[in-house]
Amino acid sequence: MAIDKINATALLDGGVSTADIADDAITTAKIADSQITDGKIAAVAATKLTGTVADARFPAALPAVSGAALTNLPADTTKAPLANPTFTGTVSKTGSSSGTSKVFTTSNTATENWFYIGSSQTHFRTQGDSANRLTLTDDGRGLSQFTAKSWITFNGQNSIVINESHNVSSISDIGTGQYRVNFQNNMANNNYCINTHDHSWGNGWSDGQSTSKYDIKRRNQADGAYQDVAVIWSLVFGD
Amino acid sequence: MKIIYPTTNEDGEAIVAQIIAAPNFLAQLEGTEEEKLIHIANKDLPTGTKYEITDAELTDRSFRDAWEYTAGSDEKTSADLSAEDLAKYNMTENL
Repeated sequence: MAIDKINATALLDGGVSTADIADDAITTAKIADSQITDGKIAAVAATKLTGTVADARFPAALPAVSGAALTNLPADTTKAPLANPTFTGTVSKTGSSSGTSKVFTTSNTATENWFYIGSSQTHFRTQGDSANRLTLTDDGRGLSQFTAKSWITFNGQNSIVINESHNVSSISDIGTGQYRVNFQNNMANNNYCINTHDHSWGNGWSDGQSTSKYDIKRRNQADGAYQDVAVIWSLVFGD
Repeated sequence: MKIIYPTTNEDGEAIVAQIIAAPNFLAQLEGTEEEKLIHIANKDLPTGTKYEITDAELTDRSFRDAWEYTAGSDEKTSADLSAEDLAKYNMTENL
């Protein structure tokens, strides 16, 4: 028969002490719901935090954490560090349309790098300005106000020979001391600047200027007659 | 090889002109040397200009302005560039 009720005065020491409760005698069923308060809990092992914790248990924003406190994080080899990154291979760029192109590749030596321009054009612009300050084309031209659009050196005597040229498709021999330079890629307008010089005592000028060509005329300084010249240099700046 | 074609000088007199192709432009073109020169003729000559491609060595320029053009059996006529070439060479129309 269980004890239904007892008056503490009936106990020899006048009350119930922890010594009077047998070990492991308090079971879950003997504790009413919601009766274990925060103050009664000293610590909870992390291993006890299992299952799903409701979002509402977390603050809307995580408290600031000092980077110095983030130690022993696993290294992510797919990311370059923000400060002083070191690249040892090929750095590539994925376009907005499709495909991936190389930006630069480190060489086997410490003194060389290869930078790659786009397969069509590469533009250099200032911040906040849509105008191209310099455009590099895949056929080797640099388009700007400060780069030569075209140049040529040629022998204008005997068997006429082009020694070197840039953005020139051909020259036309249109008479003694008269040559026509035909651009490979046309100029945008006729307001370009021509500078021509030769290796002789003669003088000369240019005319016949159009977007596709200009003429070089060389004359003998003494009698003013047209004169073939052995070495002629000519270059063009403009749009 | 070079291109020769008839034209006129500043006084309106008939003369012969020759076109010498730039080596580095020739290197960019495809086909035989003659095909490359035809391309250059189409590009650098006004459309419809009669011309010939020749191996002749025109080194004696003593009487340069007295040269005369005589049409041969291989005479060609410069044609329009394709729309693709016009765009490629930044040309809105032929000369």
